[in-house]
Amino acid sequence: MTALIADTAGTDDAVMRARDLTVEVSTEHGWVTIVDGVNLTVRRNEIVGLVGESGSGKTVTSLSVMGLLPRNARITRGSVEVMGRTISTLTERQLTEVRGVQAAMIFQEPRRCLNPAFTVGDQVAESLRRHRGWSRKRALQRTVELFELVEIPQAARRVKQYPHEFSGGMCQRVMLAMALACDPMLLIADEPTTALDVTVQRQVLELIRRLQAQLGIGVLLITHDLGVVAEMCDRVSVMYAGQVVEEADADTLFHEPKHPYTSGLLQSMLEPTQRGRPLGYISGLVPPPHLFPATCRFQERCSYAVDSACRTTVELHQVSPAHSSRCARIDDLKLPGVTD
Amino acid sequence: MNSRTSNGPTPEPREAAPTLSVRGLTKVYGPRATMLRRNAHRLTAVDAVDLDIAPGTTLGLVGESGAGKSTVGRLVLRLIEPDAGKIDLLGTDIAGLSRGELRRMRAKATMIFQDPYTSLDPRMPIKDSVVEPLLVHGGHSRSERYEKALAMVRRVGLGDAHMERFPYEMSGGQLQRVAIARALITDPSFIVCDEPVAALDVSTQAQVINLLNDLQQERGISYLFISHDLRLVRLIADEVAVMRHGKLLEKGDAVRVFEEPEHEYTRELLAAIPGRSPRSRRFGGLAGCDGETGTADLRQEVA
Amino acid sequence: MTAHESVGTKERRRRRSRVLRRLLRNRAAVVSMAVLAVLGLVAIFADLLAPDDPNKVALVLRLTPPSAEHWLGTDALGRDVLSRVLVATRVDLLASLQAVGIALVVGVPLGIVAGYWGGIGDSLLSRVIDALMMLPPLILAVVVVAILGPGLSNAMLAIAIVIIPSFYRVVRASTQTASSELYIESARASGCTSWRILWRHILPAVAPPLLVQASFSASVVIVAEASLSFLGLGARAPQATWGLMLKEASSNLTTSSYLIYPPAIMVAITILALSLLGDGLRDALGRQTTDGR
Repeated sequence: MTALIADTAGTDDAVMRARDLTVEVSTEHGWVTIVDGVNLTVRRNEIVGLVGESGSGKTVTSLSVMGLLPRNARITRGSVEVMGRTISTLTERQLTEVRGVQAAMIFQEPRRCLNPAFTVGDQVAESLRRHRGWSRKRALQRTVELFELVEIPQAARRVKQYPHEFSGGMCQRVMLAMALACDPMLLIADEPTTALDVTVQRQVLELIRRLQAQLGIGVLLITHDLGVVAEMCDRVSVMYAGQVVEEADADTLFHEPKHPYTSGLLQSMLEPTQRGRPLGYISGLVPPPHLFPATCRFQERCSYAVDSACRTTVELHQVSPAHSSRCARIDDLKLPGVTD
Repeated sequence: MNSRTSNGPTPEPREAAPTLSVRGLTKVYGPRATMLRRNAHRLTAVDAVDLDIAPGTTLGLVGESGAGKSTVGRLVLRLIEPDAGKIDLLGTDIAGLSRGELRRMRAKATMIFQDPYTSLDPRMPIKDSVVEPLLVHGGHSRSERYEKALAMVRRVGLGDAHMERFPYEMSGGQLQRVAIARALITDPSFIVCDEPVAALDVSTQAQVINLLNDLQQERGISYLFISHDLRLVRLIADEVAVMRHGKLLEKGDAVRVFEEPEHEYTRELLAAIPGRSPRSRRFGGLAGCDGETGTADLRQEVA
Repeated sequence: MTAHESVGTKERRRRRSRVLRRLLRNRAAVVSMAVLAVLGLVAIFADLLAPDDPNKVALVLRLTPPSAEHWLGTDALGRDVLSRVLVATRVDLLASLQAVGIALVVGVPLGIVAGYWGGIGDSLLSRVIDALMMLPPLILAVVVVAILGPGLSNAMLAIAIVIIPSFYRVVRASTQTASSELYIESARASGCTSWRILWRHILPAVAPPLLVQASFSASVVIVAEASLSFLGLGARAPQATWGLMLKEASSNLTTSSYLIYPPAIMVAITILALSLLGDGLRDALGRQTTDGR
């Protein structure tokens, strides 16, 4: 399988590119493919959304980008490049450099990522001292600037405090400061606001958006919340059962989805201005990885499935240069998107 | 959903006795101040809350983490003891109930919890979990109990085969249906739903919400629907109450609260709901181009 | 029993057999189960297996080394060592069952009550148990035997008192963990009585760690029996126990060292088997709780 999406932008713009990425994990059923032939590109100056339910493989994809796959997982096909360097060919030392300097990641529960025994300032400065070889004093100075960048009030005082003195939202800002410390070109945010309150979620998302624009970096935003995608993303890849089933720019994806799964997700999206009306939903479950069918993987849950076309392996088909869908009935289906 | 409009946007002044009526409900955590401990640190988790729920309607209780909404849910069922306040549940002042009476009342007023993975005993097959409330409230033969449980499991959209399964063999959405079946089997008039879909995937959230809505239509159950997600509350609630730091800030008809919020905090919560499409972005000033001019300079300064 | 009930029990059996399968994958656990099974059979059929009366004194034959007639030789009173060590197996296993049984009957209810209700009762009980644990076990046993008089049953009672705290603590801790689970609150919200919650929800959650603890404790009891009998505080002559045989062998250690091996090896094998089984159980049951999540 080759990338069906032509690279419209210049290659130099890509900060991260996964080509035909295939990951297996060792389970009680033997080695099982959980990410299958994923192509994904993040360029400078854009936020790419990676959407899917639990079990779709979105987190494993992001972990392989960072070279952080657990020991029971392996990349069996394809490759991931970050700033032109192929992750799988790097030594552990080079990987550390890529992780800290070229790409950074923030997670769902920021507090768990901070060591309660050290001040937040020291933890952010640590990264600068290690990667840049700066003195403690210089690193701390820079940390104060970073705290100002992520809009932590009274930065000079806050760097001396411990994680328990920070709220969840503030912890996520600290993680952002730490992630951005060495000026990475790629930021991976894995459900960065799922654990936060709604008002704080809004603030953190706005901050990520602003920082992305200000620093011109590429962001890979992993989420299950289509509302967050609608607010944040320029392009979106939808994953289902280990495969990308649809990718397009956000506007097209929301208004003219070409895959029944995307359309189903959009119908089940919680509507903030309607009441009492039954929601659309997708019946059934994501199959466990060892039972991924060889046919269209969504077929069993799909209300549009027909025997003839859907009982085969379905490739990503191109709808337009920047829009593709893994649906066998791509040409004859007219799927509902969101209505404004 | 035509029948829904009957308890619709402008509810009639309700004649029937309310399912739940709460006045001055208060819960304080922490040690009491004593001679030796003058400045004991006490946390008022719930502070003089008044609530009313009419039969067959849903009150959405909204707030962020730590607002005290889950505590309210447990207090109105006396799963935890209030420090002050009067709770009239199904026409009874539950403060005066003995332990046995309180236990019997739980057939008529019960609760569905947030995390279905932990709210069902992992060592019990689904069948036993669903049957349990019937068993403890008595009055049915073994085969009657089983028949009722099977009917209920089918009603919530599960199959006969699920009866013999164990929780670890099922998905979150299925387990939450089991929890609903378990709550409904004694035919209650009031259910506290504490973030019932927060632990579920988006595509299944909708199913569970639809199910709760349908069951309300069928059986005239009242819900106290606790959630941090205003989008959910909007879908199910007739009335909405907004809590913060243990206090009730605003309550009223759902449409009114969503369309014309009175309290500043309610407005803030509403403004934090993400939009539905990239064309209707709601978060402020995010055109995405204001930063571009300064980008080069900033990167230089950074480097 | 109706049809659906029997399907349910079949399910439960299938689940139980999963634990067993995990246990069977653990080679050390399998070997120790086999060893314990053999020891059990020996205990049951000791009378049939013993070639001679274990208490028949024959002073002419005193301290004869192993021979064709007496495979393990004879002791200072000319009694057949093989017969004695076989019969002692029964005495020791029964005694350790007795001690563990007493400790279970006392420790489990106390632990559940303290763990579930907490409060003042829990504080008081836990203080008492802590105090019990402060005392050196052997001293405690000596005091109990001094009060009740020597004899195997009293020694076992003393050992039971020594091991009650470990059962109490295991049960209390796992009850506390289980009590904070949402499904316990859900049971209360459904109107379950406390009795039902304890019996149907808490006890099954407590059982796995309890089983592991019982297995380890049994090995402790075997050692304790040997020590107490060795000190003359346990079984009394002419009864045959491994501890008593060790004591008797020690007085003739210089001349007839062969006497020390049979009881010593039996004690060693038994405690090793019990500990390995405990390890295996812990692993098998532990993994089950994780995929129960």
